[in-house]
Amino acid sequence: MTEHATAVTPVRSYALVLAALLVLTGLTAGVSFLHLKHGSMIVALLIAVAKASLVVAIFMHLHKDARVLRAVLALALFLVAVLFGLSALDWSPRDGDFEHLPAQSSVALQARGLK
Amino acid sequence: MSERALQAHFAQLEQQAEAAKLGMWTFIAQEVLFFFGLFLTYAVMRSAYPRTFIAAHEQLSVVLGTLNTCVLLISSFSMALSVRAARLGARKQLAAFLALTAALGCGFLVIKGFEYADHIAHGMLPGALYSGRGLPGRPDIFFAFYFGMTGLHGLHVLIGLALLAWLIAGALRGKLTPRGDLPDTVEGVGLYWHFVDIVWIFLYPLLYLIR
Repeated sequence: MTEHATAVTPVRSYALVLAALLVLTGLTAGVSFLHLKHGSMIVALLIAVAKASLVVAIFMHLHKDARVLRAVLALALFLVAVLFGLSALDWSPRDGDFEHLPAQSSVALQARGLK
Repeated sequence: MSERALQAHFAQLEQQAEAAKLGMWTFIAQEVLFFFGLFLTYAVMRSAYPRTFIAAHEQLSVVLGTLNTCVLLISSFSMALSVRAARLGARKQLAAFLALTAALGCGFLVIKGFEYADHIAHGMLPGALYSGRGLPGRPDIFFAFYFGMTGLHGLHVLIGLALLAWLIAGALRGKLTPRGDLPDTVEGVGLYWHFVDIVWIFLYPLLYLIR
């Protein structure tokens, strides 16, 4: 019990994580103004994943908590990957650019999607 | 209430605390899948309406979005310090950091409220309600995602604020003892608050920074 009570993360670690999160936020905002053609979304998502990992590991203590908690998160991320993969398989062959279609033409969308 | 009761189905208090944390992470795992559904739909519609999403997102304020990101990140830092204070048994420090976290959460919602007011004033609304500028493509679809995703996130922040108020009341009533319930409860609410922060970490680039 006392062991649990004294085993706290130093304030310095939290402060460093906050500093890193704010720097990464500035970085992702800055990169968005460079108008990279295809890389911008990938860079933005990589930075978001880095920020989320810092929050999960340090703020949410997952780097030193019980392994079963990491397994629960891993299961959720695995399901996310499976669902994304299945959806991508369904979507990508459909040439889904609907932008030139007039508004309210859901029938046309369906016809195109199911073709 | 000051001493924690060991429930009959647990062998020791540590095990009971670990079970509570496991329950919280299980809840977060299903929240991940809940929000993933929205992100997946966003990805499909963005690939279907690429020019729409780029034109419509320019109606949002990158400055306010970035400011709100920083507000939420600092609130997460403050929440982490709350959990630390609870573990150390520092009651006044706990109440102060919880109050700071709640104040930053309120600040986030106030800034979001100003953004919403601006969108509403300019007719930038979802679906058939859209009456804004004639942007290319289907801006009504973009704003359906914008209001749907930020609205559900805002609702999560609101629930977090209610939980924080409950914890502050607990801390002020002097219920904090190393063997009491409060440190574990603060940690559980902390996990939730950090998760809500992570959802915003992904919403921010997808809604405000797309190019």
